[in-house]
Amino acid sequence: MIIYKHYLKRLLILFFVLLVCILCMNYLVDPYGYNVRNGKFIKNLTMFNKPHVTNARVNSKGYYYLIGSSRMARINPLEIEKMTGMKTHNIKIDGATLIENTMLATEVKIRDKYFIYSFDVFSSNQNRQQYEEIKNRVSIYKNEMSNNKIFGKFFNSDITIRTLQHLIKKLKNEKLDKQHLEENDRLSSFSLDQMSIESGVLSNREKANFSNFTVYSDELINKLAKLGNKNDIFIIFPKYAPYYALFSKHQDIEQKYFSAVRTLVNNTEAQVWSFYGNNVITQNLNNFIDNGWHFKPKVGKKIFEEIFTTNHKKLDFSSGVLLTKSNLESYLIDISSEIEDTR
Amino acid sequence: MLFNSYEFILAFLPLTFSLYFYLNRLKLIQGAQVFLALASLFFYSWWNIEYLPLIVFSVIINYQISHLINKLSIKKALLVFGVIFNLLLLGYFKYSDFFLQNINLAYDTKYSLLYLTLPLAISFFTFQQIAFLVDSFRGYVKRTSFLNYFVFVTFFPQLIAGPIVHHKEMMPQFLIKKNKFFNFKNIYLGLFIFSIGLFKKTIIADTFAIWATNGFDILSHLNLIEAWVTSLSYTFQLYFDFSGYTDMALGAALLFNIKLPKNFNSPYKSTNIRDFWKNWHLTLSRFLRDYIYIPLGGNKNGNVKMYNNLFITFLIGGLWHGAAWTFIFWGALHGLAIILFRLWCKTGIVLNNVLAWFITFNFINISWIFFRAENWEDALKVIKGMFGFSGVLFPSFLNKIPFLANNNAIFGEVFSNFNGDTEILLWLFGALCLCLCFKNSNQLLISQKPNNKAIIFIVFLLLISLMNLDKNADFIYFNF
Repeated sequence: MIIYKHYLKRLLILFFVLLVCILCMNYLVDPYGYNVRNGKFIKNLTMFNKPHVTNARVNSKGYYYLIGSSRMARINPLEIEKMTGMKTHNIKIDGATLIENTMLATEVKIRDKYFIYSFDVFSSNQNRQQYEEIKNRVSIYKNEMSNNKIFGKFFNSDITIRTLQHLIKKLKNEKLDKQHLEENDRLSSFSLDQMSIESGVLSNREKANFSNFTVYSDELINKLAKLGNKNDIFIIFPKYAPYYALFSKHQDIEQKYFSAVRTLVNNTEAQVWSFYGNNVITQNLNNFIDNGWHFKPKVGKKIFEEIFTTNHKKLDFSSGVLLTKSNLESYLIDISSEIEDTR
Repeated sequence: MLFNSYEFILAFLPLTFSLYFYLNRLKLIQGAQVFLALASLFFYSWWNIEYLPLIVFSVIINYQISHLINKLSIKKALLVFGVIFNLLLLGYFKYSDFFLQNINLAYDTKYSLLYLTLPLAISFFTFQQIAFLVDSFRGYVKRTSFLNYFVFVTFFPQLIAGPIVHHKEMMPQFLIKKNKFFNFKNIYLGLFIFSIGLFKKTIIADTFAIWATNGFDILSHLNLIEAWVTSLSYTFQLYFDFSGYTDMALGAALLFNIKLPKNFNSPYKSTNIRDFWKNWHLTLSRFLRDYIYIPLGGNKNGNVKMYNNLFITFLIGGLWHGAAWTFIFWGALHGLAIILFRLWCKTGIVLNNVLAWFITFNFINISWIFFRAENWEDALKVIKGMFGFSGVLFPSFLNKIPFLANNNAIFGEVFSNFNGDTEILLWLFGALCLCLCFKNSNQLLISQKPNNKAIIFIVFLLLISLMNLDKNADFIYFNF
């Protein structure tokens, strides 16, 4: 019996010592930036889609929460913190639907925080919602968001692996924003044919983002719009300009999307910034990668400089428009006719 | 409350353990038992307090009936009343919608379904109490206090998903004086087997659960390899989930100096279906044998009657698992397999061990599909895929094999619908090795001697498992 007592003591001591060590290590390194974004690798801050990380971020101290799809992965929350002085977390989900984004925006508002929301054309395609994979993902995120795991936040296998990776990368002197730098330097080369086929605007491809484009109901968009108040921001991020010509030409995507934008702007108190249409950003091929689908991270930074700067004269370019109920119709007519001209 | 949750491992279990032994140390033996009963009810109602009165009511009624059986001469009438009471309770909550659905289907009626939430553990505590009543009638039960009976039924380690304990093996343990005090050996061994169970559940079963769920519930179409991955994933998920749960139950009970019966004994090593049932969910097999098969007549009235009794027992076993025709079909498959095996034995032909294992394992694997599928369509989807009726996609690297290339074989990314997880194959191979080539947790427990290696092993399992608790997945047998 004494031998069991002896080893039991050892077992419990070893267990608690290791448990506390791992917990402290994860808390201090904080690879996902739950407490501090400074000194963290951009990959960990923006690039993963993990429900438990999203949940932990929403439940961490913060002011702005970046909600959107893969375009939001090109936004460094630390840059926004530098511009605004406000704690910012990125909770984007690659390929997110309006349902998922609205669910996240609701979670943010429940906690009296603010969102910066990417109101993207493809996220507005209701047709994507029919796929089991997407339905399943929505329910996974919903279930996750219903738990506030206090202990598991800094004690799970994922954060422990990330912490160790973080330490190894630091030892190897890896640049914190390596992935964003690589994307900025990546060659921009893609053809219109590729873009048409892969995006699904021709409705020729099952599960492509724009196949059978049907916009979500006004009721749903209205619900999203009502969530925003004056400190929240909706952004219509830029795509490579030829996309807009495709949207105008096929499936009436442009008008369907504009109708969603109308519902949004007319029913929200939040700011709505649009970078849609032909402008300095969208017409420059070198601003885009991945078939013109994603803008480069350097463009993301400029977009937020434009949104948050109070003196627009200091900017070297201006391409976004703050949409209001009064300028909305003229803006939509103008960009639509500009796109029509370039078709 | 789930065994695989922070609240159980870091709060409920240590607190209950400490207070229970503290009360015993103060010589408050009854107080400690009352505390254990209350703690078990707290554990039971953590999810849904709504069904707490039901279990308490069921325990009180069953105790009273058993008391009257011992006292009065109308023993048989009381037993029948008691069994009907238990079956009605189980039937109302578990089978009423199934019954109504079938009535509606057969007679084209439109009775609305009740959509009742299944009270947690009802199948387990019902069987446990029926056994108690039957044994009271047979005169096998000594008079016992209500408190002792209450703790026997509600003792939290076995309450939710078994093992289905027998009063003969449990009640005396609660009365043994030396069980009221710390036993370092039992605590050590309890932690040892608990950590193995936790690891089985959180690391192995929950990993397979992702692929099984993907194949059964999400994908609408499975090619040959995907279908096999789906069915095998579930075969391993179920074993590691349920045997993991049982290990944790055994471990938690051992902390309180209570030895629960073992429930698994390397069932996937079996080389015939009879062996499988001797090693899978042993306490259910024991219950079905003692309280259904033998009362039906067992093997006493000739072969035909015996086969009939076996088949009925397995049908009931299937129905016990769930109110659906797929469960009944699963039970029927196993009943037929047992009968076929008995007939085969009579021929005197002995199969090679590897071949016998292969046939047994594949039968079990295929039959689990009906156990898991939500409906016939899902089951057929997997079966069709496994036999190549939904297309065969070969991995791209095989396109160099002329035979395949010349016969219009289709090549591609085999695991694209499983997020490209080629590691699935490694997991399947690893799980099979664990099932076939290693000692099971009960064998490890018997041979366990404390040393530094062992404590590192336990701490490793505990920490790795704790780090993966965030999935917080239910145990499969919670649904039954």
